[in-house]
Amino acid sequence: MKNEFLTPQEAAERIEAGAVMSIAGAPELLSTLPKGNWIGGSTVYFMTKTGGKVDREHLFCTTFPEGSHASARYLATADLANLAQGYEAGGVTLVIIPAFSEAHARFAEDGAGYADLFDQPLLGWISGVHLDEIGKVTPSVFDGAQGAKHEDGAVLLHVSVPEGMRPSLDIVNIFKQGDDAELVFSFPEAGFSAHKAIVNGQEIGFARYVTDKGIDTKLPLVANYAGALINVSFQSVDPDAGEVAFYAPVFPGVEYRLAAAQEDYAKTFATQVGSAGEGSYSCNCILNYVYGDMEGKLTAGFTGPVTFGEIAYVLLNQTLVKLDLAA
Amino acid sequence: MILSETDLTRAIKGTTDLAAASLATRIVLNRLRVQARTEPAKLSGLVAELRAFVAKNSDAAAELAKL
Repeated sequence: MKNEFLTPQEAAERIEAGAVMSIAGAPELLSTLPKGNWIGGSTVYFMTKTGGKVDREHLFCTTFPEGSHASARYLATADLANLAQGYEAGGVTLVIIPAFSEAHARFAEDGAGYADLFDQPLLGWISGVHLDEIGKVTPSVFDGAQGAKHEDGAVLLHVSVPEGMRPSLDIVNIFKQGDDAELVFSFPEAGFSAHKAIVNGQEIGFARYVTDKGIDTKLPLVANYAGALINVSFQSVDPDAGEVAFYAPVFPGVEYRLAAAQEDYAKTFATQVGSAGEGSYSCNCILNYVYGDMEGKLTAGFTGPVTFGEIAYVLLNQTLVKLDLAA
Repeated sequence: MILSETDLTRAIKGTTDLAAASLATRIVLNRLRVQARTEPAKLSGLVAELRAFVAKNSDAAAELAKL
């Protein structure tokens, strides 16, 4: 796949030439693009070949190899459970969902139970806005087939890759589970927020516990999914209301451990991925960008949008998602 | 590769990580394990769900066979 930072004019020419593309950028730029085989989402944060940056003049474009075919479509929130019905045999599906939307919540909480969801690589991201614009500007997604912008629901790009190529989806999580027994939690209810948690068999008021323990909420809670480390990031802690909010849901029956401290995000990425990333489709989390002070820093060869959540079958936080097409 | 009912049940009731498995297999297995712990009466339905997943994902059978 080809990853490029293009002007809107360059992106439009590529679309009109029939390319299959995933596009990220400022919504006012995405709105100018012609109809075609593409989906898009709003963000102004990017990891580029020259490092992390904020940009409102270019679009981050991933172009699938020649010979790829795709169908772009929009799914309303009520129809999300039918997501896999558009899967192309042997292909891959990209999905973009606007942050803070009903679709965001529904996919996060219910997505793993959607029929046939895991039958092919499903990846994507949650679109966002500049952090200074949260609450003022609504994140959006774009269905290139119809030339339509949406602030709820999901846009999907079902891609059929050239014969002989095989898609491979994985994640890079720089966080590991910590080993402090007082920082191991389970939750009685599913949701994007929690009032109560269980620690060492005792039910506690979670917000007060987080505050009293001085827990670093820049570190995610990390669950072990049969060997895959899956993060849930803290959004806010309100001891008065007794509520802790997260950027992804917690689930009952899952053990979460506070991540071990992380000194240098960029360096840790580099250590984990080496020189990989060239030609991969990837996205990385806005929290890694902010907490890791990634502006101007490189994440090896991985370039792409910086997002309000990442999707690799399920919603992730503080994680890099990557797709490779191998012969 | 064909996994028996016993193999699938053992995978769901187990706790071993699938370090080398695909992300899909790990997430699916974890979800079924969590459900089996919280709602053990549904085990047979969860085994059927895992069997259906394996039937459509040939790599998953080999990955689960290593447990």
